[in-house]
Amino acid sequence: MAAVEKPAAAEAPETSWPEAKAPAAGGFLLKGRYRIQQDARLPDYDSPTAAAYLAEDTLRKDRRLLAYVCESSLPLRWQFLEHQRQQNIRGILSFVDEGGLAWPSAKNECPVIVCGRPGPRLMPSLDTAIAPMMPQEISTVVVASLVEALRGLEVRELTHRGIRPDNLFYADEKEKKRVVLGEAVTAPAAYNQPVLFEPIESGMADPAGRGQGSQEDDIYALGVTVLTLLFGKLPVQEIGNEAILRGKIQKGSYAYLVGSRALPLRMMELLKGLLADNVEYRWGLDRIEHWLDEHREHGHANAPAVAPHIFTFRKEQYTTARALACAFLEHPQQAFRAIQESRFEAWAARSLTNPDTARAITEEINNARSSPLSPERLVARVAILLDPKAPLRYKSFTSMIDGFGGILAAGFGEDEVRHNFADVVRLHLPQYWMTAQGLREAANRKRLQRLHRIEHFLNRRGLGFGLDRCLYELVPGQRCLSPLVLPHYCVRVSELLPALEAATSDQQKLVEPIDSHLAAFIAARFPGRIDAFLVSLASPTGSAERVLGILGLLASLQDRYGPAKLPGLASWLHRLLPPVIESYHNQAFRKQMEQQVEGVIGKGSLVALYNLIGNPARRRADRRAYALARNRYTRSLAETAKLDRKLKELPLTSLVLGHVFAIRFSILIALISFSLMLSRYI
Amino acid sequence: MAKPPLRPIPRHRTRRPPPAEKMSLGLWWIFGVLFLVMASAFAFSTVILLTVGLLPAWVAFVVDRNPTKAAGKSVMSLNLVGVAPYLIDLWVVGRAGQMDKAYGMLTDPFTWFVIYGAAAVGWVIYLGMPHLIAGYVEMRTLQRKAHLVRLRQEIVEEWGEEIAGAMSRQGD
Repeated sequence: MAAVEKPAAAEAPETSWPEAKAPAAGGFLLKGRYRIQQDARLPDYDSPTAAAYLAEDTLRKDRRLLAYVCESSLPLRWQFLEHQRQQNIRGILSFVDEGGLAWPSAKNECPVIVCGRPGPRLMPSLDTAIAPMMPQEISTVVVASLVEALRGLEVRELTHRGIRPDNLFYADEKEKKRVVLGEAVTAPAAYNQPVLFEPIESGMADPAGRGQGSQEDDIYALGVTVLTLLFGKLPVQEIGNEAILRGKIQKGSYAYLVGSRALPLRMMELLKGLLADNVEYRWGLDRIEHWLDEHREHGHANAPAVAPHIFTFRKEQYTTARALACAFLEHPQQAFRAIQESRFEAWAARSLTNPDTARAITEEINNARSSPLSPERLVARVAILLDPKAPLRYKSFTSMIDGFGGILAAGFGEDEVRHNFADVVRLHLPQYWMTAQGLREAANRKRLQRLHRIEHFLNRRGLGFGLDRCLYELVPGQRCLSPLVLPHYCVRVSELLPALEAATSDQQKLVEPIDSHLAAFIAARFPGRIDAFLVSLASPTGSAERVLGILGLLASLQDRYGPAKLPGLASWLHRLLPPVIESYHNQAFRKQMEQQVEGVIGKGSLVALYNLIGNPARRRADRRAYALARNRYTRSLAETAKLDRKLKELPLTSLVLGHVFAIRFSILIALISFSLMLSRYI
Repeated sequence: MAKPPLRPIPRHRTRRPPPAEKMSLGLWWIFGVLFLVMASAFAFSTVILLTVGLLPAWVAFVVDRNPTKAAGKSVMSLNLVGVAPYLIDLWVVGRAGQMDKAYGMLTDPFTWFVIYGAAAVGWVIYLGMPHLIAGYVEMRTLQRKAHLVRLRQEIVEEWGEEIAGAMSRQGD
């Protein structure tokens, strides 16, 4: 266990908790600067997962700001937020600041995002109709602005995943010449997107599991947005998600969404390009820019690939592999039997265009026959082969490969989600999905390594591992869900100690100032080396090793982030220290340490406390000296026993020895006497 | 054709050579007596003095059942010391008066006192030496035990009772 060598906490800047004080005069104050007006709602700027309020910069009152008070249970899109924190992206709602705030209507502190306030929405809501926009206006105002925004995202390797008409705002209140994209950070990527605005593959996934996706997904959403603005209302209305997906799968997105309505030729070109279901045919930004420059482009027809043979399943006839995969997943038990019938194998061999896929299906079926698999597992694997571009689907778990974090974060409280996630990872379905994509190994290496890490964390027991660790590893914007800090909004590891210190008075009835969430959060977020402390946490409750693990972990945090004084936490830990002090063997050292600990506790420095009682060199020296003493004690006992035996056998040994000495002594006397006698005659 | 049953290979018995037979004590006595008879032909008075003077040593050899013959050897050494001055006196007077001198010595009680007194000292050494050694060894052993007890007390004071407990647990 490495010591926290630097006693630098005393010099660290002291941070105070909470960072958002409430209520300030006329509203809640975020980071001592931004006043959020609780009474001044801005419903026109609301997002499905965040309520908009008027905000004011107390230092620069001329700024037009709004604050999004987000749902406390959903993680923010941290990567997106971090990029915006560094530099705002032109064409996207400008980010100002972010923090946690104790909002009256919420049980826990809510994340709050302060943004620049743009002009009005293009479309107040998706349910309401607006006047259809002219094609010219759409191309110059909407498409040109969004292409610029998407270019900005492309440079940063980001996606927006929230492009829809009710998330578009005019940049200016008066001159409506440019639009900006609304927020996309208050929930997992594409969480707020209706299925209509998502490509087929992403639309099939659970909203929380759609993942970051790619620029092609944003371009598809742009296509549906353009179509909606062109019509002044949604192209398809009042139909459930299932029906929308079925329609898109059967007819193709363009044909399904446009239907029989006539479009201007120029818009038709654009929409055919944007709504192509095959990603290879979907337009990229270059082609859209070409189109904006009046160059004529021919969009590809995107009719779905229909299999030459029909497969009948549950009395329904299926002509596409994608539709059949969906049907299989809906009825796994029946699908399990149908897959193992010879007619399915024959259908796959004749109908699937890729012979490798047909071969893989045959292999799966043979494997299932030789070693029984669960129906859900077999169906999931066959569905991946039938429709490799679709999300990974297993029981009710439906997620894109990069959407695991979102789905786990959104449903972490539900046992079903947790079990399904664990099953998916343990059954190596993601690896199977990636193999089915036919991607080169190099492209997948990083993702595979990540999956291996996640599986390792999932299978390892003890504090700091398990599903909790997977959650924090997969979702960088996930707040710490530990009940020890939960009223507070802790999304950065530096925010933990102040929150824990603030909660000490309520929590001291608990045994330890750590739990599985807290340990996993620290393990996932803390950049230093804390493996040794995590290993110590696996020791039984109340053991010296475990207490040292807790202390070392918290001291590492204090050493790096401060605050320098944590008297509440120090006194809490003080109650746990007896086993640690007793683990030292030297009695005098124990007494001396007990006296020194009292002084350190008063200062509130966990670093000093750890360096005092957890110093590995000192512990090693004590152990070594104790081992030597024990050795001396053992040898002393053995020697005493030997002496007792010697005493017991003394009558016999003394007799033998005495006789030997008697002979020698007598001979000696005789020799001396003879010498003296002879000396008289010589 | 059925194979004949395999017979176990006979183990070679190695005969130990018979131990070299020692010459029995009785034989020694016979040789001793023959030697004395032969020697008495040349130095009769010396043989008489030695035979009578060393009687305690011969008795000690006979009564000592211990194979080391420690009693015999101890008594013999000092018995010889007692006899030696008279033997020298006897050899100094010359061959002519040796018998008279020997007779005079053997009839003098002081001669008996000196010779048998020396033999008695041999017996004292033989009988007393084991007690002396036992006393010395016991004293040293008890001193060492006391030192070890003090050492253990110091270790327990420094490292706590648990060190004794750990030892007893190890012993269990």
